[in-house]
Amino acid sequence: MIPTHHPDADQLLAYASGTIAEWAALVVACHLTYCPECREEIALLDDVGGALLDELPAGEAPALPPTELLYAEPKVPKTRTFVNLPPDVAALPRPLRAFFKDDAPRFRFLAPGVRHVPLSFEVGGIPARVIRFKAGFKIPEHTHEGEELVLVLDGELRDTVTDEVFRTGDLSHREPSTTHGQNMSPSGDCTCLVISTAEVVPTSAWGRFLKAIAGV
Amino acid sequence: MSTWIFTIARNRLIDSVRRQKRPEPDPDDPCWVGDRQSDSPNPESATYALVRARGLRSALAELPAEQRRVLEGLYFDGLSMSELAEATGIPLGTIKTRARLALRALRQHLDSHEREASGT
Repeated sequence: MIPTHHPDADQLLAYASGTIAEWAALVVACHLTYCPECREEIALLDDVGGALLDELPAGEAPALPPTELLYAEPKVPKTRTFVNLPPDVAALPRPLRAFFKDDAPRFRFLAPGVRHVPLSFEVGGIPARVIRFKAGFKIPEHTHEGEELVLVLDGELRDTVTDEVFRTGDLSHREPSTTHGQNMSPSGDCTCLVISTAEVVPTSAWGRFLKAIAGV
Repeated sequence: MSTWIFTIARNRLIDSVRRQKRPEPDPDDPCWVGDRQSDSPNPESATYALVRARGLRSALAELPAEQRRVLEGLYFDGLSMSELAEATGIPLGTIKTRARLALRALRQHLDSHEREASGT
């Protein structure tokens, strides 16, 4: 099934032009794994980059990397190979798995009904985590001071305020100061990539409790 | 070809400057959801790529200068939209609007160009 909730046009453009923050790039790359529609859009935006290059007057050098950077080996760790991953991690998309410090991280207890892959990865200084909620779990209403990006990796959840349903590959992007809650589908566990750029302000006592134990 | 050079340059730049790997989707990923079945031309085909590149170039040529500058700022100066707003003193909302208008114009131009090219 093809996702119905996509990154917005600005995010796709930022991803293609290479100006996106790394944590947002991770979310977009995971979404692209599931979304042929947005992959077509990215292919077009890459072509725009190519056409802009073509259009440069001869002799005018853009702020592109010098050739030694183009041909140098990138100073980044080699991509890890993932052999014999535990089944609960094998189902995660590859762009995400590249961020695990540990080759075979396991979901650990976080709160009743909530397990997560602990903060073994931080994307560009922004805490990101993979959280697995038990079927039927309800996240109480809360307000974000910063942006919140939730990409559903498996299962289904419903936003309590907008009543929208998010399934595998769907991206929920909340602007700062919006209030919402999420209810997991009772039909199965729900696994999400969750990235918040600022502290969450719970709007209920249960929410404060949840924040205290989980920091989500 | 130009697209290929652009993507290599962009990825090398991100790797080298940020010392980070750009997160990219992987077609061999077991989670990969395949392409839609469609009647549109195969984007992998060389003819299609040529038609599209030509269409994009002529569309870029027709773009208002201020819209084109936003695209160049993003693609070549490596500035995000907020950085671009800060650098130029143009409000962020205006930058975003220009980027959207530019992309809409490119897409519309491309659609008509491809229709012409396929003779329909």
